[in-house]
Amino acid sequence: MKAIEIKNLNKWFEMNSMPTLMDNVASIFNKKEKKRIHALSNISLSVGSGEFIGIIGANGSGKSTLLKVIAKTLTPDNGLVNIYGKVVPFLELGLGFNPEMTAKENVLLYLSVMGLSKKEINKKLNGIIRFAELENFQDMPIKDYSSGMHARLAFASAIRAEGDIYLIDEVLAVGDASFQKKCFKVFGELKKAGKTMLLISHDLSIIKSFCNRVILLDKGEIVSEGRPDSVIADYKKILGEREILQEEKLQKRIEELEALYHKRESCMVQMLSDKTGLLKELENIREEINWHKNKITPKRFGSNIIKITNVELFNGQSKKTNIFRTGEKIKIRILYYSYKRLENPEFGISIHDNNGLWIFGPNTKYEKIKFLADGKGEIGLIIEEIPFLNGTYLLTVAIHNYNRSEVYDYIEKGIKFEIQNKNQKEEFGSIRIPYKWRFNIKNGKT
Amino acid sequence: MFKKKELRLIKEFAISDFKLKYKRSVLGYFWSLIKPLLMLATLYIVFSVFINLEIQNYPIFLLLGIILWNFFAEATSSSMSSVLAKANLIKKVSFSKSTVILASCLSAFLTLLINIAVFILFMVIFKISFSWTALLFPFYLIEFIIFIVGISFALSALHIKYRDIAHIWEILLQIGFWITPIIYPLTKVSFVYRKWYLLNPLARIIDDSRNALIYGIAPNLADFSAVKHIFITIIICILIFIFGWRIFKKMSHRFSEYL
Repeated sequence: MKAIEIKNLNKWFEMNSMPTLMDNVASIFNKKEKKRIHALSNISLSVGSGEFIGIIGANGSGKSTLLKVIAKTLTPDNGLVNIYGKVVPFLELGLGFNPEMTAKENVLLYLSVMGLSKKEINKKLNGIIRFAELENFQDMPIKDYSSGMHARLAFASAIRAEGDIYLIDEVLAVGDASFQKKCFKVFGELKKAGKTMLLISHDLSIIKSFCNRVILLDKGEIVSEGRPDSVIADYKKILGEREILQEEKLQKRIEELEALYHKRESCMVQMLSDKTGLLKELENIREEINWHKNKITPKRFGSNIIKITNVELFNGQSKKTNIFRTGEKIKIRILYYSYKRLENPEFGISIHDNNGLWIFGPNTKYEKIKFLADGKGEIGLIIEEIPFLNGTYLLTVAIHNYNRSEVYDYIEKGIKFEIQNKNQKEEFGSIRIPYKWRFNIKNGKT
Repeated sequence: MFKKKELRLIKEFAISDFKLKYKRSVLGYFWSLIKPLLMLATLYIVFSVFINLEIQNYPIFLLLGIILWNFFAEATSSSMSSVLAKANLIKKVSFSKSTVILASCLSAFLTLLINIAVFILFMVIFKISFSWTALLFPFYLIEFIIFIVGISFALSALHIKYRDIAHIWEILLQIGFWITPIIYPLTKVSFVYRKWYLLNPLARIIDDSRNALIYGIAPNLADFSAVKHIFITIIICILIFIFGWRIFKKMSHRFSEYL
C-alpha cells in the first residue's frame, strides 16, 4: 500500500517574496524577469505505508521544503503529490503554539486543527501533558516555558495526533538525553503500529538506526536513494568534494595572484621610475596571497613524540629548490627530533598530484628498514629520475610507530613542488615511462 | 461548504480569540460593553447638546448605529490581521485557512450579541416598545454578515501579500464612519446624492435596522421601489461575498510563502 507518491515535483522560490503594492503597479509597466531559486527540481518519490524514510543533505539542499510540500503548507509549482492518509507534520521544532495560551489550551487548539473531536482530545490531554513532563506547569502561559519544555509539549502533541504519516524535521536537537530516549521509544512504537515516517536529521546515527531507506538531496535534487549505509557514504563523498572544491578555488586564486605578482614584478624592473607606487601594490598583492595561503593550512596531526622539524628538497646539483625537470634527481631530506628513545619508527612519504590522485607512497616499513630514533636526526629519500611530467605535486610526510597504531607526526600535503619542462609540448600525459618505438612486432616478440 | 471538522475548528478558534482578547485585563469582557457606551456618551453630548440634530430617541438611534458599525469595523480589521496572527500555525500545519477568517467574524459577532443585549436594555429604559418589525432585524443581520465575511476574505488575502492594505483600511474605516448614517439619519442626505450614497451597503443595512427595531417601519412590499431596495441590498452583499471569496481562494494556498 502506498502512503506518498510524488512525480516530477518542482518548486521555485521568488527572491523578492514580499512585494509592496508599488512593486506590483511597477511590474505592470516593467516586465522584468523575476529572480527565482529552484528549491526542488524533478523530485519523484514513492513511499510505501509503514516505511521509515530518512532524508539527508547539506544545508539548503531542499529537505525541509520537501517535507513542507508533503505537509501541504507549501504548494508545488508543478508535479503531482498524492498523499494517502493523515499527515502529522512536526517541522522546525514547533506546531505554531500561541505563547499567550496555556499548554492545555494550545494542545486543544492544535488537536482541533488536526481534526480530532473534543471528546477524543479530552481523552488524550492528560496523557500528552504527562508525556511532556509538564504536569506542574500546565496552567501557565507557554511563553514562560523554556525552549526544552516547549519542544517536549510540541513533540508529545504531534505524536498523539493520530496520524498515518509523520513528518519530522530535526526534532531531537532539543530535549535532554532521557527525553530523547523516550522519543526513540515512541518511534519504535509507531514503526510497530505500521505508521509511515519521513525523518530529517543531521545526526546520521539516528538515520541509520531508524530508517529502512534513505534519500540524499543535493541542490533540490534526489542524487542518491537506497540503503542507509550506501546513501550515507554518498553523502559523505559530496561533503568531501565540496571541501576539495573550496580548496581548488583558493589554489586557483593563489595562482592568479602569483602570476599577477610576477607580471608586476617584471614591470617594476622595467619601470624603476614609478618605484613607490608599484612597491605599494606589490606589498598589497603579497598580503592577499598570504591571506589566501593561510586558509589552506596543511593538515597536521599526531602525538608529537617525534616531530618533523623540516622537510627540504634538493636537485641533482644539491641545490635547494622546489622546481624540477622530468628525469632529474630529487633528494628529499626530512629533519626530525625525537623526544624519546624510539625503536623502529616508520617513515613514510606520499606524493599526490594537484587533483588529489595518489601517485607514489614509499615507506621504511615496506623496505624493512629498522633503526633507532633519539633526539635530533634526519632521513632522506632519493629519487634518481623523477618520471612526472609538468604539474604541481604535493608531498605528505608521516611518522608512525612500527605497527601503525600510533601516529607520531603527519603533515598532509604540506610541501609543494613543481615539475617544469620548458619544451614539453609534444609529450602528453602525467608521467614518463622509459620506452622505445619498434617496427615489425609480431606475436609480441621483437 | 464545510465539514463538521471545520465548523468545530471555527468554534475553537473563535473561543480562543475571544478569551485571548480579554486575557490579563481587569475588566475583561466588560470592555466590549464599555467601548460602545463611551462612544455613545461622547457622540451624544456633541450631537445633541453642542449641535442639536433634533432626532427622535437620539441615544437609541445612535447606539444601534454604533454597535452595528463597531461590529463591521472589528470583524473586518480583526480578520485582516488574523492570518498574520496565526502565521505560526499556518506555516506548520495544513488546514482550511478560511476557518481563521470565519472565526474572527464569529468572535466579533459574539461581541455584537453582548451589545445587542445592552441595546435591548436601553430600549426598556427609554420605554420604547418593540413592534413586530423587529423580526426583520435577523434578516438584515444575515445580509450584514454576508457582506462582512466577503470584505474580510478579500482584506485578509490582500493583506498577506500587500501589507499596505492595513493602513489603507484604517483610513477607509475612518472615512466610512462619516459616510454611513451613524450619527445622522439617512434623510439628512440630499436626494441628489442619495443614489450614490446608498451604494454603501452599510448605509442600507443600518437604516433598515433602525426602521425595524426603533421606528417599527417595515418595507412596503406593494411599493416597487421598496422591493427594489431589498433586492439591490441582497445583490450587493452577495456580489461582495463572491468577490471576496474568490480572491481568498486564489491566494490562500500561497499564504505560508508570504507569511
